[in-house]
Amino acid sequence: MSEVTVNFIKHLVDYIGSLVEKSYGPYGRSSLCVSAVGQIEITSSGISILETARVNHPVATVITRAVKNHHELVGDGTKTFILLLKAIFNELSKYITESSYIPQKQGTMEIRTKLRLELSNLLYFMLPEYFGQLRANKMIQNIFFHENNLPLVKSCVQNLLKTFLTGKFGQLVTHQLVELCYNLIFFSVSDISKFNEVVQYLIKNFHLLCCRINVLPIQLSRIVEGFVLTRDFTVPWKDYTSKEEEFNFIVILSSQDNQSICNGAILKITQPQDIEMFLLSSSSFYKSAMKAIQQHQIQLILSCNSVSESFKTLCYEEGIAVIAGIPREELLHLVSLCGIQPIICLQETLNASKIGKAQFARPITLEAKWYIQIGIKLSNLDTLLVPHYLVLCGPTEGICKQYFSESFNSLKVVASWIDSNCYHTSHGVQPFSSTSFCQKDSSGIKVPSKSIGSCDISTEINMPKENYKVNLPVSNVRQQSKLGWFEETCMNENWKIHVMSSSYGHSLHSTLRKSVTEDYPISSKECEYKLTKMVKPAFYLWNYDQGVSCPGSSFWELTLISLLRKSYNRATGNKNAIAMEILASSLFYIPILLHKTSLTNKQNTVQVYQELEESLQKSLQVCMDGVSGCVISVEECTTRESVASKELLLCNVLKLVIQLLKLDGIVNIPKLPKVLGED
Amino acid sequence: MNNSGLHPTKLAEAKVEIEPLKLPKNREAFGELMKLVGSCFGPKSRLKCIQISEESPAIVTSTSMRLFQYLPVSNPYLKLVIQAVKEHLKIFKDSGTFVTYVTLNMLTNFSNLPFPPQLISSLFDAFSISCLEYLKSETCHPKVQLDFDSLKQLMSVTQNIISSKPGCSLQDDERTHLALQLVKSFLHTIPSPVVERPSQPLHIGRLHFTSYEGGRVLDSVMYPGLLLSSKLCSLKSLKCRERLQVILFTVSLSWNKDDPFLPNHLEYCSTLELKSHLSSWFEMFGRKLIDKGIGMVACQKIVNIHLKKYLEDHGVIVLEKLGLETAVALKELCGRFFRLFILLTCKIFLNNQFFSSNINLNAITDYHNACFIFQIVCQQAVNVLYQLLLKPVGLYGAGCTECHVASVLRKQVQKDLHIYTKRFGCSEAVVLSTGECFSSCLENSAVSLSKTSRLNLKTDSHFHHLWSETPGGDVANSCACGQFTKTELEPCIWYSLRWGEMDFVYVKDEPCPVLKNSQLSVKPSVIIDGCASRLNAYHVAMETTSALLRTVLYIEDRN
Repeated sequence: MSEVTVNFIKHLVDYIGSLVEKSYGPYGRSSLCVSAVGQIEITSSGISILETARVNHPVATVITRAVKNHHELVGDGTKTFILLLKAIFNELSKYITESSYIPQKQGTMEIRTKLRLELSNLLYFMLPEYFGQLRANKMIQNIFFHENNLPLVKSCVQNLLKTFLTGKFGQLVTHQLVELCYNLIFFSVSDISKFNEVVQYLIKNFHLLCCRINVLPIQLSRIVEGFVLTRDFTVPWKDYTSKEEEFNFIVILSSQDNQSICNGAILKITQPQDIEMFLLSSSSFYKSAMKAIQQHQIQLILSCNSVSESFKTLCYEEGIAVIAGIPREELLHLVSLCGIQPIICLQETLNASKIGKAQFARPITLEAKWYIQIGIKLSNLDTLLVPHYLVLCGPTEGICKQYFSESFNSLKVVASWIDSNCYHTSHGVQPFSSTSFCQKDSSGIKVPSKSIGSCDISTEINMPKENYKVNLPVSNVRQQSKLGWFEETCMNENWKIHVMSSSYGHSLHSTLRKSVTEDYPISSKECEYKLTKMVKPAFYLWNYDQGVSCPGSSFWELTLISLLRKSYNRATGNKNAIAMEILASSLFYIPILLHKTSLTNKQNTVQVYQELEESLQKSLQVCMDGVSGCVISVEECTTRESVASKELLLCNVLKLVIQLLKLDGIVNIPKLPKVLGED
Repeated sequence: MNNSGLHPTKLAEAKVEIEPLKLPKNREAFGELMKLVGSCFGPKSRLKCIQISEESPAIVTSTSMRLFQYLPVSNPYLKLVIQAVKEHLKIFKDSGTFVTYVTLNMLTNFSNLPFPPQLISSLFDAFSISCLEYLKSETCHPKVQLDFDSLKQLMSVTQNIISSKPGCSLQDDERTHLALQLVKSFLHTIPSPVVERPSQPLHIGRLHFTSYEGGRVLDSVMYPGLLLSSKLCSLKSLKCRERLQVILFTVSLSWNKDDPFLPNHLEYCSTLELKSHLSSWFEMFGRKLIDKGIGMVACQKIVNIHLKKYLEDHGVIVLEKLGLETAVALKELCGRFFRLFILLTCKIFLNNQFFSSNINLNAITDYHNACFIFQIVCQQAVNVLYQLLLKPVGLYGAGCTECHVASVLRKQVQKDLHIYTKRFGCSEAVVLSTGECFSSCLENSAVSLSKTSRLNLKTDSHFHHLWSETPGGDVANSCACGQFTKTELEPCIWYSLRWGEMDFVYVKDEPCPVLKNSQLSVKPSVIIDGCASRLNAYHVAMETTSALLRTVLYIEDRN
């Protein structure tokens, strides 16, 4: 067994970091990755690069897994994750080497334990506060998903998508993809208050809502209304005309082990005339099925299995279109969208719950294959979304696959911007994934409640009649940040709300005070009624999701550095000073890297470093310009990023650092690869 | 094995290369393929011979479809480029060599520029967007409206495609004859407005190509109907007939235990003599068909030998193993009466007197390799004609479009210089140099097409079409595509083609090319390329180059 030193891990993360460094930023470049099976991909995704490079080391495997988990959750930030990890280990290694406070024995567990504890304190106790302070920054934009805010929501989403996709592809492609993703989201949203649900739905079903065409250029990609079904056989649709008026359809989904759905008979030959009997009975079966179909005015039959030719011919004669061989998953998705039940066999009785309504059905050709575009009439009035389908084109399969995966990731980026999704992860609520909103006390980590809370208006006995309590159980910093807004919203000429903290720190009470003269008579019932009327709309808004974004180009990192530096001071004996200093120095690496990967790189690195230091000392709000690599005022910044994903990334990186510092040794260490660019 | 007794998993380290585009091995590979493809480009192209292995026959071709089907390529960059070309050819069947040449040329030249790579790829994208927007715009001069009523124009387009394939080895009259047959066949697939089933939508007919070795090209002919191989039936039952009723089975008629006809499950008593029962059943079945007056039984799959014998003995033609495509084609022909011919003792010709939705073109050539090239040429030509049917717009061929677009881009870069310098934060020289590189790459494809030295090529000051020089040093009488004559454009200044990215200083002297002139009519003999396929070719070339130019690392998983 070999000991694992910090220097050793530093060397490893240096190598991993060197693989993704040049792909970082809005003008980052891609890597041409060839997989073990010979598949060629051009990508700038950190996780794809790592997986292809397949660094042959168990620690690298741990790092790759952590990066992958983060990527699955957020869809972005894998390169930042790796580079921040690299920066932290560089600083840790430097500290251990240069430190004069502790014995200079590299790799001793005491030093690592101390560092680990400090980093844990920083992660669980101090960062939540800093995040709260950051969120209070005036440059942070909070947008509620309310009808009045629709233009703001749209503008913010467009900026987020542009910021995310700019680094992935050239301008030739980025503009197209931004428009496509933007349109897919906003064409699908019917009610802005359900924005979050729609985005989650799009993420979950993206593989069913998008098809890839590996022949045409990206300019020919488009969003089509309705749903597109793929077909599995080559007889063209041209036998059937487009249907542009409303019509009924049914979906036949047999069980997977039953291949025959329209025949159903088992022929027992005992005598020669049995074959004749079978043919006659099949024919009458089809005819009776056709009667039922005609009775319900069904004009389209969709099936996942094959359909017998005789039945198809019968349908064709009656003007009913039959499309068979549609992938099962697509049909399942279609029935769930329409809210109908599929049928197993034509022998089943048809009723309204099994019949769907379509607004149109059109054959379309994509890449010389036939597809059917169906416009669905959704039965529920309170529909979640308006179905749309993305047709994504690219010159080759590899390039088209990249467009597909980054479009998918862009939806995740938008989802991460929606604040409430911090609690809703694909793996369930995890204490580690939302540490920014957790409070740690002696009883352990408290995971915030998923529910927003209910409004309970009550009057307390023996309280002056002017005072009425509105109980709003607030259990986290996020809701606390909304209270200022709540106060303003509930402001009324007769009523004022004051927010008071209770001694428990977890729930806050609002007390309404009547500001009119005391001799104004008002009954408690009337008071209560007015209160409800006033508070309810505000409380309804309280329950709206909100998107929290900040300017990009390392504004968030620089602001956090500023907060950290104000707090730590070794001379005062701050217990976590070392960890804070290491984190602040590591975060500095991000804007410097943005400068190095900028388009023209006008200033030299030393100048940029000095300028950043000066700005931090003067508490100026600055960020990096992607084109020139210079320091600019945050007002000039045109990029936007999700705050929640930033917080999550930092927490996950620190968690991994803490985990790696715990590593004692490795069995059978293979040789470490050389860092790229080293002689 | 280590101390703990665990077997380590040995994985090979990934191969990582920095700045792969600048590596000599990649540059050499680009150069080799570009040289190969450049020599296969256009009517003056030269054939290539490919032999995959000692046992396989040699393939002689200049078409990108065949070339990339058999060319062994190991370089991943080239693999990606070829993949993009193949995807383009799947739909458009044309301009494959153009895509390859332009992509490789741009990749080589742009990666050689002495500027930061991020800047180069950003500028490339900006120029690509301008170029593509110009090609899509209404003011794009090279886009010409074709008159579908003009047979001459259709012939011109078709002949241009045939001429671009020297592998056909055709004389002028043979080329004209083949082009005529192709246009005729194409026109026959378009249904006339008066049809017997007016309520049904109009469908374009199918066009099949069959080629033969040994014979004269001038004997190539079109047959309105379906041509089937005689291997599909026994010749003894064949005789010329009229008014034939046909029944088509898409299921197997072989009737063995594992391949049942109609019912999906078959159970039978083990005491029953299946074989004799089945043969009597077949006789009964066959009798029913004969009684109904069926003259031909066609089966997509296999017909049982007893059934086949029974039917043939009673004068019914039995066709089996048609395959899906032929079965579908026959299905479209079904429902009408047929005429049956026997042709060349090796093909059966089916024709629907009243409604022919299947056309067969019989192309004859005198040597083996040309058969394949004929097939490709015919498919390509007809594909372009179908594209023109959808949208009757063409582009000037023979390199004139490329030269014109190059000039337009040069002027546009000059005009918007301040916008580019501000947007990308770079100097004017960088923008002009990169813009000149882009334009030169477009012109290089025109030079490669003409197979002349760059020194002997000029552009005019009006439309910036391509003109070659005569041996005497004068400019030729007409431009490369044939649209303009020298006398029409006088007075005119002739400009030499640029040599490279540092020649941007001369651009200021050149006037801006004339944009779209709606009064300009297309001459009948002008060389025209199909607009849809050429536009897609530009898109694919630029998108692929953009993606490849951005690469900084090459990572190969060697496990």
